[in-house]
Amino acid sequence: MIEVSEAKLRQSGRQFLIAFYAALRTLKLYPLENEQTQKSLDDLAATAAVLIDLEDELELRIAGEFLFVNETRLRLDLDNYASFSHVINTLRHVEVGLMRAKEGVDRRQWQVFAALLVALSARESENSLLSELREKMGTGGVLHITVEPPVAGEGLQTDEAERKEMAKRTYERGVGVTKELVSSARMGRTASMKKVKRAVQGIVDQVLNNETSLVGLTTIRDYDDYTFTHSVNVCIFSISMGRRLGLSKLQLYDLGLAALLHDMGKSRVPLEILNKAGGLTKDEWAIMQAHPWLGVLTLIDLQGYADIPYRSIIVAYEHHMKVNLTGYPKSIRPRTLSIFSKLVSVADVFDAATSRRVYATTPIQPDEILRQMTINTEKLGFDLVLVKALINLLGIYPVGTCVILDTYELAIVHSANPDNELINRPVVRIISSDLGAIHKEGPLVDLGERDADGTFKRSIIKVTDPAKYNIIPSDYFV
Amino acid sequence: VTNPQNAVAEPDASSVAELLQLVEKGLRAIQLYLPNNPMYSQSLDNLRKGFAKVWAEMGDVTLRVKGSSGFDWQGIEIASSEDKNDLLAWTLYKDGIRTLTFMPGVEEDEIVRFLGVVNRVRSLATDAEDDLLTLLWEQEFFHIQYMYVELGTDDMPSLQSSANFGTPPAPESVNQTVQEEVQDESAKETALAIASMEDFDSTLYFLDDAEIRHFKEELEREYQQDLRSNVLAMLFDILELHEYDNARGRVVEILEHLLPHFLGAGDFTAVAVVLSESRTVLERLSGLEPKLRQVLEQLPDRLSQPETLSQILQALDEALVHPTEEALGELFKSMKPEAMDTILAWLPRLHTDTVRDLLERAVDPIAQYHPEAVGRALKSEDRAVILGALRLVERHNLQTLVGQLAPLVGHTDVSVRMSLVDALAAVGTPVAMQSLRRLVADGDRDVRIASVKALTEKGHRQAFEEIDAQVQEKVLKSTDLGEKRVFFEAYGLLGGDKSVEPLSTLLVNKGLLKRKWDPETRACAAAALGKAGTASAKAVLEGVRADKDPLVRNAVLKALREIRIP
Repeated sequence: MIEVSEAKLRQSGRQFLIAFYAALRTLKLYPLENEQTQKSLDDLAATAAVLIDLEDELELRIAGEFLFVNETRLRLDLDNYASFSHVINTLRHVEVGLMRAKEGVDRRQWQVFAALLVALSARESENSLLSELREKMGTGGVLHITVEPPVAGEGLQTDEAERKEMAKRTYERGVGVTKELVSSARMGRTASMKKVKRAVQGIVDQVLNNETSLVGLTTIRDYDDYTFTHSVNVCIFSISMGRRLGLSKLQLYDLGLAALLHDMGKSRVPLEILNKAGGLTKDEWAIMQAHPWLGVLTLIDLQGYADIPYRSIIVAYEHHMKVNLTGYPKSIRPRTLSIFSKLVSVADVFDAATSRRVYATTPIQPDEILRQMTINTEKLGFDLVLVKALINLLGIYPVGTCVILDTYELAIVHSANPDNELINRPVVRIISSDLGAIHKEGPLVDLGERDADGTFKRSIIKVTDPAKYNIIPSDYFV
Repeated sequence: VTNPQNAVAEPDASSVAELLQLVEKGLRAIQLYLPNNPMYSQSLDNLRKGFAKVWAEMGDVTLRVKGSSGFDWQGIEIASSEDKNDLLAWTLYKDGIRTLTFMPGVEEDEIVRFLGVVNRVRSLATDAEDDLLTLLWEQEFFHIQYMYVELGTDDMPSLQSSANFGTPPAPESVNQTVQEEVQDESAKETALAIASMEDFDSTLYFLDDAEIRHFKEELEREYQQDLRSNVLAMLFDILELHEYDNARGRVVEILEHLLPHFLGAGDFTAVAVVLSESRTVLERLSGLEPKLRQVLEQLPDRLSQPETLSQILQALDEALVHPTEEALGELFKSMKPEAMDTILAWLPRLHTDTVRDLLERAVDPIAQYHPEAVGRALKSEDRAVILGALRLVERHNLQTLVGQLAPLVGHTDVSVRMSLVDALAAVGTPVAMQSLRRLVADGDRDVRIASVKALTEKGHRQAFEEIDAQVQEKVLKSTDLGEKRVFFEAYGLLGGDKSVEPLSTLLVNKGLLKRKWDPETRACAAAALGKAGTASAKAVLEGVRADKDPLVRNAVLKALREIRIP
């Protein structure tokens, strides 16, 4: 009898873990109303119910590299590492060592619990995520699930360094393939789209799993490599905005590819115009303005007629057109701007304005350009919905903004606050002490944190130009 | 509660090895058979059973991909008898995959897609835009996971922190600048304005229902749009708006090359756009270099070549999605009239009703704009072409072609002469009716009947002579009641009073030496008198009202009822 129940428990435990993993993954990738998300939550509730029926409660405990379900060890090995390690990492990130569900837990409670785990697992905070999880579980009516920290000695392990490294590799590959593409286009050769595809797919994966690290790298705005880093930045911003607007993974790829290729026409603009310091003459400006339609010809030549990237061509052509079809190039034939073109256009303007370029060595501060884009949406020819998506992604103080806090500390904005109510209180990295000493590895601080008396511990009092302090924000993200 | 120490079973590789064999058999089945083949279904059924067996014993199955030596499962090597190039493990390994995990649920649908991708990747060229990793990524597997190494990334640039990290400014200097900045009142005001969020309406962070709807509609449009037509519109705009000769030359060259690709892809809408927009550009852009103008002018010629056009029509017939009537109309309108013969020859060969209907309607503009092309088709040696041309003459009443119809009266093919009757009747000019009258004496019964009926319907009294001659020469001697009836009715109707005496002779049977006609002929004569409908005809009919033969008597009474005069 014991053998039977043991085997059954192990099998049910595995099924629960797989369902738990599936629920976390679908909630991360798809909206709640998605059919696959709903099914995964049904499965989660059903597999948990099986275990609770067997032993009146369900206990999931992390111990080292092992998972125990009701004291039965589910070995973490190559058989199941993919799903199990995801669950372990998610729970560890929110400082959960033990999760217990009792009779009475229903599907709604599982849904709230899983959604909270997904939301918090995307957060970086120096405050206790476990406390926040518990608090939100209480307010969310999750009464039959409890969570506890890991037992002593099993301390928290952060994989932030690994995430940063992966984001870096993805970014580097993006820059590399863009360089190759531009070089091929300049020399009139066809290019390997396989590498480009892999690079964009990698960026989509990173945005879906590791957005904060990757968006942080968009602070790299070095004018030596401007053409390449700009294309990668626009690609990252576009995919991240698309994700917030609910695009599917394959749609994000289409968008990302178009964003990465949007400036390919510049490969046909003479370098002396492209890199000219100071103002352009009328004729030079006319050539510069030709880059959208030159992009059409470039992208058609890139691979041959059988594999023309039509959607990317449309974006390359339209990304300087305004929603009322002013801007450039001019159109004779009726045209309705593609939503992808409008989206890339917003990302393009933001990144370009905040970058140091040969002809614009003093970039506009990120918050300022965002403000201009918000106030002058119509004049600038943007779609308001897309400007909102950008602000939703970056917050009022975009990633990389250098700020002075009321503690007289300097800080670099690390990520937007995931709580929409605190969008003006981002997560920042403190980069100097109140006495002015610059930190290489300052601590991350959530500006939404309050003292015991309810006042905010730190607030932004000023946005500043990092150049004044000889600071390059991207150094804190690379 | 169970003892955790006893919960881990020792691995048994036999079922995993068996599963891998089934996976490789499944891959072979996908490679060799179509999905409707029983071998295909059987192989996949076996594979699903193999997975079911494994799931009963364990959870996920994770395999280390060892390349040409196969797989490794929990330290146990699982080799394959396949050749290296057919080996699943090798296909995965050479594109970078190092572990592969199947999870429960994979057997439902994902395994088939997975094997499909592996099969597809084996046939990809080395310079293809896809490899195994890009294709697997697109599948969004949920029950299959894989880990891979990035190949060929050694030359990627490396991101480094700037040199500034090594030389931070002095703390005093930082502190002083911060103090100055904070004490700058004007700057503080700006900062406070930003921080207070007044410039950013709080609703910015949430899309309302209308905005969500707007975005969804835009996204839907993005994926419903005709990408090729959109890009073509750009190319034609570039051609018209940018006066650089090299750019124009390149655009024209692109258009020239795109045409066969669109045809190959069966995108006739795009082909039609190229043709119609080229025409527009030729009309509007007077400054276009003559060489480029010539290329654009000649684009339609290429489609009208019999070989190209045959390919188009074949592709149309085999396509799953057909172009709109408008696009087809545009496509054929742009064609040269020489295309007519090929289209007409293909029409009866087409298997798809929709295509035939579309093509029949699409060919109308050519007939309307280029009737001379129909005239040439009438002279074709291909029966199908002549028939098609005759239908066009009939449908469009192409009177100018009447002279070319006349020679067809003597065409050896009955179906041609039958269609000719319809065409001539539709044209209806005196010359056409003259040709039609010649067909009254055609060697084929059906042609004779059709022509007589057509003449009768038209009330073409000039045909009386031909019908009379035919009645005298052939019809009276024939035993074909159907033909006899048609001829007699036409005789009466077109002859009027002229027909009464001959008909009376046939009907009344008077006099010792007169030939006595059979009841059927007499009944036909009675019916014909009814059609003649004159007073003299009525008088003749009244005289035989009480004929002894019931067949004749009935025909007489019926004919009398038809005559409306008192």
